Amino acid sequence: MSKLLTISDLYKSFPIRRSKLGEKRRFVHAVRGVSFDVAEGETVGIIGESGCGKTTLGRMIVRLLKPDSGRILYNDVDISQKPAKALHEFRRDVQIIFQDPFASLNPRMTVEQILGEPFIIHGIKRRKSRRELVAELLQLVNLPESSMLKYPHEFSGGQRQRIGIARAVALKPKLIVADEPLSALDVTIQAEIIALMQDIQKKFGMTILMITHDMKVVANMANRILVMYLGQIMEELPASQILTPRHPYTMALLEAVPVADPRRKKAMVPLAGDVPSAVTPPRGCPFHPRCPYKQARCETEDPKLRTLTPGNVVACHFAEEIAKR
Amino acid sequence: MATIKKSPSYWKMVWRQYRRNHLATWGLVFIAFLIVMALGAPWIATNKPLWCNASGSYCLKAPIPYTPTQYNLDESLMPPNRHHWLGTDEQGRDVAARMVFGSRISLAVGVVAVGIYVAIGILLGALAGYYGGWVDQVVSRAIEIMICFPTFFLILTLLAFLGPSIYNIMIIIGLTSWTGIARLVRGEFLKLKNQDFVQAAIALGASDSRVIFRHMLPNALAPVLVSATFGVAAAILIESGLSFLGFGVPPHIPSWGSILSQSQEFMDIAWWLTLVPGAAIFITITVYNIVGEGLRDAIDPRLKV
Repeated sequence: MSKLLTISDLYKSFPIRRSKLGEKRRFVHAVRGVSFDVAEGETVGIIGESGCGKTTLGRMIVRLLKPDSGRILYNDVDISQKPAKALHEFRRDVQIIFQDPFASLNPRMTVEQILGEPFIIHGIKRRKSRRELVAELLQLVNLPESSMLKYPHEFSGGQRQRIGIARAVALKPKLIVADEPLSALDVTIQAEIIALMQDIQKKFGMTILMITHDMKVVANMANRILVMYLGQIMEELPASQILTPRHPYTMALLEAVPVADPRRKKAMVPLAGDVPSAVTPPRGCPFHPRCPYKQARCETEDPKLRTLTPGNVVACHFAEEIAKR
Repeated sequence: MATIKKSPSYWKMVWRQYRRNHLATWGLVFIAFLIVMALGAPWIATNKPLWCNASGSYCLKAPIPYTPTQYNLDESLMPPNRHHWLGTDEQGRDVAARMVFGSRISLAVGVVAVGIYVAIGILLGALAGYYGGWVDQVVSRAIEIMICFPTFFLILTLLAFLGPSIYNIMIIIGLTSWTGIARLVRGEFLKLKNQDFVQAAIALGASDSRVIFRHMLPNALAPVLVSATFGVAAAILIESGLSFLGFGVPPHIPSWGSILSQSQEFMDIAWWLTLVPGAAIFITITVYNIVGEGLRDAIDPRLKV
């Protein structure tokens, strides 16, 4: 499989407003040296707690944010620093689905206007009228054609998310970044949306980058999973190995997934404390303040990502020893 | 395609909400009446008959059969009577006719001055809020500098240099009062820029002008409209104040402010000369404010749209 997207050593930080006069300018380090690649047709899940930089990463990939440094190769072309005007073709190929279906649709536009916009912006002229193209999109996401002249506020959250998906796939993009597309929805609706996305992926053969904090969602949808913590990748593993992670953080995430079994005993104490501040990330391994297997080395030396078994890459000094226990 | 019923747009829903406020609805009717009066002034107050039959034996007189400049010293300072509904001034000119023509000045100043500064305010506020960075810095500093000047005295000073004329008043009010709108639009744009639907439009590759005019401005317009309504009231008041001080329109042209100004000398013997323009200004300002408040309530975000 050829590489559709190659990301290397991506950094992004945001300045904080100075609260005191003469105070040194401080930064939130949202993404700190992330590298990975995505093959065509793959579904990659990016998982992590809130504040771990996964949304920032997603927005950089669709170039709604400009990285501070690092490269984003899309079809072997670096788009990380291209000016907005040079991105027109890229925008047609790479689309984003947003988390909040109530905020992602313009309240002053009808569904027809919202879904017609991609065709207008990219000057798509076909024999079919724009209205027919919009009708096809609505059919694709299982919404009635009569939705066309309605405004977003007349729909439920799940229906709005369908409209958001329809807008993202309107131009048949090659890559879709889905930024927590399910977390604002009810569980039953989530299942419908997952099915819809898989259905569309099968039809168009697009690549999906699924950003989420929900283990079950990635386990269901993704081929490959990236685990992020404090702006760095902690572990990369195939979805088939999701139940046997090597990194203590991934294990903790897995433990946190609720299981409907009252007799099941917790194998491990729940993760103590909060995610450290991204303004002053801890020295050494970013996970060491909360890691149950912490040793002296973890406080000083930042573990590099290393391949343990094919497909399983881990950033932990003691991954092998922890796995033996 | 099956018949599809179009859903009510945002503005239709605002209108529905607005009409539930009876006072504000009547205020709108009053403003419509003022507009008709101002536009129809040459046919409402004229000494020429509006229509005569072929033989000339019967003529239809205008509702106020006097022009605003037609004087008759024999009829000076007459209290309201059946010929002169609102009395006459010291030169025997009909106050009602002068009031009708004076409304044109008030309306023109209100609409043109507010139109100018709303356009400037939207443009600068949108640029500052959308682009941020140094554009925002420049616009924000310009706003702060403008706010430092007491507007009314700035207008007085400029008029002293440029000479009193109705056009100068409109332009000067327009060029000095845009700060409020600019700040409002800048704030709305800062909020909207991070909204997902705006980000979605950018991600689709929409041009800056498309994002600004199709996605952001329609969502920022409602508070601007409210502010503009209050602005019309303020502009009318400024014009009246300037005319009262003699910096407004030339004396022979009637405006509500200048009529009020001329009434000073006769306040003790001709109450109607003070009361009529004073009440007209008071009521008009109040009505514009009521309409503005009604509009503000109607676009309340709790009205879930």
